[in-house]
Amino acid sequence: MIGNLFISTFLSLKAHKLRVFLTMVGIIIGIASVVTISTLGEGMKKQILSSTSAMNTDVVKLHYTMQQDSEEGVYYYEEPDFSFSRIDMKKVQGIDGVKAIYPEYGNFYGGDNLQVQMNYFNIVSYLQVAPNNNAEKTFLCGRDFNESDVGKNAIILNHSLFDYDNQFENPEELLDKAVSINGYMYKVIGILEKFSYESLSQSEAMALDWTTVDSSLVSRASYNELSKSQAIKGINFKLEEGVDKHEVLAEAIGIMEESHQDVKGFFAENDMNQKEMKQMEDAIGSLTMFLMAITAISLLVGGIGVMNIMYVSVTERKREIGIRRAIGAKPRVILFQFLSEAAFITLLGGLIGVGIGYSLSMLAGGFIEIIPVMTPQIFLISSGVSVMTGVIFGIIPAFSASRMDPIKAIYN
Amino acid sequence: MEEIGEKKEPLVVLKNINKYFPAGKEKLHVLKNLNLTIYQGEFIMVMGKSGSGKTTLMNIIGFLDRISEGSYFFNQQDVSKLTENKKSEFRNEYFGFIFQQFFLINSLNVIQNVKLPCVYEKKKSGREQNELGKKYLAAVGLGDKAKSKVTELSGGQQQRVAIARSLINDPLLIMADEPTGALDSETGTEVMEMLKKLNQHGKTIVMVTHDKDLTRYATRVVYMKDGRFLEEAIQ
Repeated sequence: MIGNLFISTFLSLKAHKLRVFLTMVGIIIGIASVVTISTLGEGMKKQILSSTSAMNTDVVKLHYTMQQDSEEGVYYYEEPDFSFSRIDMKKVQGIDGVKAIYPEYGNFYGGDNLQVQMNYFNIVSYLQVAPNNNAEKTFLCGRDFNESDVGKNAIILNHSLFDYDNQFENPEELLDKAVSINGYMYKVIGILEKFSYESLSQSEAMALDWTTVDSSLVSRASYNELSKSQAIKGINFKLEEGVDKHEVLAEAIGIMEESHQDVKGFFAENDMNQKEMKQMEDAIGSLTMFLMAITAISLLVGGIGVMNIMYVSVTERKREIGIRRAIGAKPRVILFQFLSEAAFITLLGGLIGVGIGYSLSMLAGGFIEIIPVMTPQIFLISSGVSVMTGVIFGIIPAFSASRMDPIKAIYN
Repeated sequence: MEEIGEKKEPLVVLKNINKYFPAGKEKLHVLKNLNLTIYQGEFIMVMGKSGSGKTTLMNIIGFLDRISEGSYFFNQQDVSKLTENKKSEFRNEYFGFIFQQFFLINSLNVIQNVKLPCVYEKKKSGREQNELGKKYLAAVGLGDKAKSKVTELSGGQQQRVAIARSLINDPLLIMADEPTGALDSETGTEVMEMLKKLNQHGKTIVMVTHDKDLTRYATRVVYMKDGRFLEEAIQ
């Protein structure tokens, strides 16, 4: 029976190839849009996830904050009444599953930055200083660290110092000069070229450590020296493999709470990265939903096209319906026949749409540097939505066909 | 007119049948208190002018239309108030229809048209349906046309395809509505000979016609006027 239904459907549609194709256009456009948006969205999510996992996921960050976690993501800065001591670090060092711990000095931006004061003659500036990370750098002038700097205080200045502070007429005037930082004399061995945000690709932007973009760089030894006078804002735990980070975190928080019962703030995980990722994902999700709504409208239009053409088909084939009913087709058989025709049109349109949509997303992905990802879910949902569109918009014409009086249908 | 017909095994028994059609606010009384018994093996011709009610009577017998008043027994079963599904089943299992305009489905080829009642019967496999289709096509002399498009056939050939379709489920009753009306006289005679042969093999046939010449094929002829039977002739 089902085999015959398919044959009958195929033969009926084959008789009106052009009309069937034109009916499919709306569905093709709708599904192609869905697939383009979904595969690009999925690609973007995957890219974000991979850049997140490139960050240290085996590191748990404990910090002290004056606010309870806010669902709305609205925070008001309040100077903390507490900073971690080296004794605190020793206390949490022995927790099971912790491979290593290190302090986080951090400033408002987080990360490894130290906020220091730099004096050059009578000019006072504030710098963010991070340890040299051996990454490739582009210099405006001067050079990178080398062996000759070992045991000496040397600094590579970030161009941002000159971008935000116009006390220096020419950045290069500082090269090879000595500046005073926290009372120590540092020799400026290089100045980084101005960081260009515009030239960043999306993937480069996501992989970038934004906390140190504006930082000047000193050697690790100098950094440690400078950090001695800095408050410890957080403790980072590097975990052994397979360790549950929540357990470690809970234990560390427990130890801290017990040791510092008189503080006003809270000990909690510093999950700014995760929050940012979540916000980004949510933003992509909202954008996707918005575009989906537009797509739904195009599917609605496509669906109405299907409904229209099914009505035409039912009217044209009244006699055929009457003949089929006369020789024994039950009303539901007629219903299924027309429904299957509508579903077949939209399924075929959907499959063509999936193909076109994926091709379009590959094309668009080339321009915006996102590799589109086609998941089985996207394929199944798109095909399913197509079939559902056919069924939903085909049901009324199919129902009217099934309710026709055989005699009236035969003799029109 | 009282009940007519010989006392054999009754296949169709219509008692006090009335049929009304709505005509604006009025009702059109099309069949007026009809009584008819059709026995197995009969070849009945219903004759009458246009508007006499003969086609409505045929549609009622073939479950294509419902009665307004009265009762209908088919094969000793009260079928006056069947559901749409049940009526479809009865038409499929017990009736074969032959129409004046053949009424084949153009998007299907010859054998697909012939086996369509089997498809709706859902009792035979695809292979059995095909074999049966070929058998009946051969019986009407179109064994070589199984895969042809119906639009490629002549009128006479199309009517023979319709006859094969009406026979495929081995019905108890064949309903023929002016089966020669659209054919030339030679082809019409061929079709009538075919129906006669079927009747001789035991098939019960009810046929509606205008053509008085065809009454020689019937075992009984009933005449209708204004929704009533006028007279009968038993041959």
